Amino acid sequence: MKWLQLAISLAIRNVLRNRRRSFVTILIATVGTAGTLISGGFGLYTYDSLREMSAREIGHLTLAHADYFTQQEETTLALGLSNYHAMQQQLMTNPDIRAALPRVQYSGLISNDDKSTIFMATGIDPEELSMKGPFLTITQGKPLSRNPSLEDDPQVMLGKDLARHLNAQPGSLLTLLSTTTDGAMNAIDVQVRGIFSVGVPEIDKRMLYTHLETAQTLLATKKVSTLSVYLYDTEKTAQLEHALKSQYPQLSITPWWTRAFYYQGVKSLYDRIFSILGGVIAVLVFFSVSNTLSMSVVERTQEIGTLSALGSYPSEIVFNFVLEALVIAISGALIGSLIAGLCSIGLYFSDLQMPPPPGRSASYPLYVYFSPQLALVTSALLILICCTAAWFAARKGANRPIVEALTHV
Amino acid sequence: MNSSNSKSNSNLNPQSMLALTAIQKSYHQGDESICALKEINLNIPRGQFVALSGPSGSGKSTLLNICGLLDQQYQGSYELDGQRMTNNATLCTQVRREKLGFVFQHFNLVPVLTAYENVEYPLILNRFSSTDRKIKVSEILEKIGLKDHQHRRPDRLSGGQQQRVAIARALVNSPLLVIADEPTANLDTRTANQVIDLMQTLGQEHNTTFLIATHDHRMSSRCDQIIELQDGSLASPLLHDAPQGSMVQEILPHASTELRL
Repeated sequence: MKWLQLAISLAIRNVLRNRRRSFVTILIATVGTAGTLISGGFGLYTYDSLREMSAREIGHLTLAHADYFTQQEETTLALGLSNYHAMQQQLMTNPDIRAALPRVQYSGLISNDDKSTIFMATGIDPEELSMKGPFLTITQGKPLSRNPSLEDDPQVMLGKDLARHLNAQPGSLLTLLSTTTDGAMNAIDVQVRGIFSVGVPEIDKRMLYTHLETAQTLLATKKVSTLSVYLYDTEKTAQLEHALKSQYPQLSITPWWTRAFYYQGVKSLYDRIFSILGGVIAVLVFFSVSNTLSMSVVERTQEIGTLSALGSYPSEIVFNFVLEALVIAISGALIGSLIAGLCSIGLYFSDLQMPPPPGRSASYPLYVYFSPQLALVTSALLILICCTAAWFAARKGANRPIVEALTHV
Repeated sequence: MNSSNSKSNSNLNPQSMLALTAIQKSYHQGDESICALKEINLNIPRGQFVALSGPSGSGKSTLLNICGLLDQQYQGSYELDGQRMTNNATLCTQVRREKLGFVFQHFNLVPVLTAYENVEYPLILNRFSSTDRKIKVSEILEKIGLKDHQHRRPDRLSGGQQQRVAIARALVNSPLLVIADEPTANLDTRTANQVIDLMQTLGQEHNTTFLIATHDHRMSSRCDQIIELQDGSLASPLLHDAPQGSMVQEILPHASTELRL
């Protein structure tokens, strides 16, 4: 044990021996760690946000007719669900499920008497709007009423660009025109309750929400397209998917990620970018530590010869250099993690905004998650890289003939 | 180098601590082969203070390196305390660790360790207990007069003090043999005499053999024996300048390249 104590003490003292060089190496290890943690933290925040957005947009799990996502419906809601009330009640007995909400997807024409345009609509339970949280912004008016008066006109919420196209304001009267399940044309007058934005111009230009009942009246049906299941914990999606597949073998149970194409695209892109970035950082740290320790080995060749003459094995000498690399790596990992943590806290309070991503109209806050798991993995990798670099640098010096090492100038 | 037997079966003097038989060493410079040592035969009993002298290039350092197991590439047979040395690197390291000590011309202390830690280092390598280490290091530091400087690093010690620490490091382990390469070359006369005194005193206490390569007359005049090398061979006459009463007086040279003490 004393030998190990001395080896550790020796390693720390040798690191402090050439302070400037060690400082630069630790700085590189620090920047590498902080860079990896900050970029990785940004990626994690992005993934998390997109995951939540996707899950809140369509539900963590979607229950639909077995062929709903694979076949085109010959008539409106031909592949819809009719017994959704019973399913809703059954699902709500599960304590992990926050809500099971029916949806009717439909499309048609919307008119303000002067002009008409195509719309993509979702008939929803107004509770779904509260599920969307920060991922749906009501720019004007109010959300759909939870208990609408039967005497008033049915309500509609319009996407921001659709409302602008129709010169609609909260309170405006519009007409929805669509095809019923029998193939006939049907129309219904609606009043604009609110205007919203999801931050995607293509969606804001076409999208509208109505009450489920409004949609069913327009389409002349009692069916719904899908049943969206919202969970308290997104992490439990796979577990619930498995359970529901056993419970409803005749239905298609689709987890959110299979339909979150934007999330998948961004994740795939970011994964590649961060892998390349991580690789570059790893190579930089490797060569930097390698260079530092190679110089140290050359400078201390005579000392290596002396220790060998006194009876130290080459493996013990190499181990000493590996310990020095370990000191550098641990210092770099700790300082780098601290910087990343402070950066994460600073950004949380600074309210810095990122510009809107491609295809989006809304900026979003720049947050960086600090993940202890990522910090541990990064530190472990840094230690591995530094120790490997030290091993390569030291083994040649340690295996040099002792006589040659002792006469080295 | 012979490497078949680890134990001696030769007819060497049973009192021999170090026995070299027909040692030869050649270097290659390009296509040219240079013979650094030629048929060296040498027996040295335990506890002797032996000087190895000769002009530069005579083979002193080469012989010292072979005796100190720093160089294992040679022809001939080398036995240390009855054990035949082979070119097995692990064995040589083990023997250096347990049975040999080294004193270098430039002291070669580990700069980041204190005087105490430098002296303690061989004991740690040899897995001495904490208590034993403390006793031995304190004792030898007391003897070399550096107890008060034990926490100083080498850069805060004078040359003489550093060499005393190096001697303490070489002897703390009570080795059989200490190899010293020009230990007084970088010291003034007064300090050199102190160092020589210290080596002799501690050597006698530990019954350790010293093999010292030196050009320094002050050193060789204080040795029991002087082995002179010339052009890689033991010179004739073999022994000279030994003080009255030293063992040199009892030496009987056998042949021009053999010395049996």
